[in-house]
Amino acid sequence: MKQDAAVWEVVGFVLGCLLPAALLAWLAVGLV
Amino acid sequence: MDKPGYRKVHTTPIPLGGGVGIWFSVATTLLAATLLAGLPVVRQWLPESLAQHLPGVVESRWKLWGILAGGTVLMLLGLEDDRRGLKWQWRLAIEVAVATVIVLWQQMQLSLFIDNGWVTGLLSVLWIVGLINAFNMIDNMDGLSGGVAAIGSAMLAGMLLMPQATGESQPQWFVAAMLLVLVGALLGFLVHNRAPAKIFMGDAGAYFVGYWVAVGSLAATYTGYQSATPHAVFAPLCVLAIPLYDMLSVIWIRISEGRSPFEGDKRHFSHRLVEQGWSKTQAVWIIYLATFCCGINAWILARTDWVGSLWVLANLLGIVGLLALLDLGTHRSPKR
Repeated sequence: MKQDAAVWEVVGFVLGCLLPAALLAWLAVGLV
Repeated sequence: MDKPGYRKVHTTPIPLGGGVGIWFSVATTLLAATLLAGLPVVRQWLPESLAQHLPGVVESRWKLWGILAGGTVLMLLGLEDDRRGLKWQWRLAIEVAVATVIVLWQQMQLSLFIDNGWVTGLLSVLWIVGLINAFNMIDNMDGLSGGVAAIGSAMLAGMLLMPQATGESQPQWFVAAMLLVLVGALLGFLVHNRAPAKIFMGDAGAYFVGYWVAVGSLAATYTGYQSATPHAVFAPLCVLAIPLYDMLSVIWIRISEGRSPFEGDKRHFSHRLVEQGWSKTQAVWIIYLATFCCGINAWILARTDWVGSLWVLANLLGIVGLLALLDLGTHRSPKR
């Protein structure tokens, strides 16, 4: 039985995807 | 470096390397995530609702790396185009080749309920190549292409993460992650690209971003949740209506003026808005908001019956029609 995700887990997932990529891009583009 | 010219809106040379940064960020984040997903310690950290999907991530990582390889080829193609300027025939041939490999090898096809693999395969290749060029064409003002791609991808990802009414559905974490990582990379890039831009994404970025959005929209499932909403397959069309409108309208203008559709100019939707008297910043925000308004239709489409889908279609046509009416003035008084 698959377990449904709570709202805070979805929010955590979204931030977990967004933040590292944003930080990396900000640094990488800034260095180019 | 992108030097100022008759079809450019900037007045000083601006570096074009932003696309490499976007690609680097997406590739690094996803490679790290797929490698970390195999570690037992990560499973312990994550809540069960997410940890239960980790074996699936590990299983699918070769697929993701394959998609990333396709994006890398396109990014390199764009980089070469930025440096030397390639002939459009070569560019298009390589774009079609990469799209064909991804569609055939990764089995990524549009779900249009057409019982013919060749037709859906061909339409899928057309979708990928179309979006690569749409995001390249809309990359003509500070923050425009990156912002539109970020809004579109975020809305598509939001739709894939929304809990569905049937109660037996699961969010599509994998595809949502692909899109959200791109959104993150674009937000990081936009810090440097917002007006007045210090750097552009160039063809390298536009090709990669267009490809990634196209593949993300193909990889998602729109009708698995509820068979009562087959019209949800048109959700990507809602989300990406504005870049597609820009591409199709500029091609129409060029052809109607007897020019090649591949010849660059300042007749894009954003340029046309500026010709009407809007400032560049206002033009960019009008296009952002139009993308958002069209994208909202995708969210409704996934939750409504077929009668509701007709209202969604009417709403979408209304928004695009309104933009086309706003455009008419500039069509009548062309200024290059």
